[in-house]
Amino acid sequence: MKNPPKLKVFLVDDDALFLKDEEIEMNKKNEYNIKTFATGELCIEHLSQNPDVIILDYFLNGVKKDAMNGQQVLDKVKRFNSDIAVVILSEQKKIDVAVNCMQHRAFDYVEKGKTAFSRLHHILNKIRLMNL
Amino acid sequence: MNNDTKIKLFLVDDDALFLKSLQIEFLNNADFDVETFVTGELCLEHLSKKPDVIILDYHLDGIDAKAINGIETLDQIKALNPDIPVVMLSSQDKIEVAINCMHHKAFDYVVKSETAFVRLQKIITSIFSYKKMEKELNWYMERM
Repeated sequence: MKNPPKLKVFLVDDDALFLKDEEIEMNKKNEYNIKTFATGELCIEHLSQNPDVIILDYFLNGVKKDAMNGQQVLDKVKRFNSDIAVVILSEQKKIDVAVNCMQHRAFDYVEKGKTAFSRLHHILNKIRLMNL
Repeated sequence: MNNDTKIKLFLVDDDALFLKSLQIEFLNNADFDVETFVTGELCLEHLSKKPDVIILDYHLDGIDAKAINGIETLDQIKALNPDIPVVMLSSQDKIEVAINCMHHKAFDYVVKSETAFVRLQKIITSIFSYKKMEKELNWYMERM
């Protein structure tokens, strides 16, 4: 039997250690085709590869001070192709920032923490079912 | 006079004191037509009055433990009339709760605090500038 196509997932985070961890964690299931980017700018440059999902950190200026933040990247992604599902993954705890991301058409918002990866798997599963 | 042009606001909260203070703030600060309800059920019964905005508490089972909660009320409002913007107001400051409300098509989510009223006022203003843009857009689309 033919396997269903793998979801193409972009991971974007300026924290290199976390990004690696995230990549390893998401690769465990071997269900996704993963690419990682350290800035929103790099992610946007590669949008032509047509990712299905982008998992996007909110604060991306840890390395480069004037880097775009998650919401700005989100807006650009949505303008490029509104079908790409963007999930914001962040440690910031302000409700208005989270709600604002949802108003800017994020698919979902996940707080970084112990349960974050299992929640991400769950969300990606939902997206895959929607894409079928 | 001019009752038709006033913005019709529904406030729904099981906390009578908070409900009253919110109503007073709205009546003092702007020209709103405010109706208050202590349960989601009562709010739903009066939806035919076509409110422009509904401000809805998240926890509504403070008095009647069997009362429907905010999310259920939100779902039913959206099922009956998806065009009414519903702003959730809650003492819950968990991000998950807020995001869940957004998934259920809330227009916005405000945490109860001293600044809540100011934020609500801003949101209502933005709802109406949004509605005005929508109207203008429709006007142009019809003529294209």
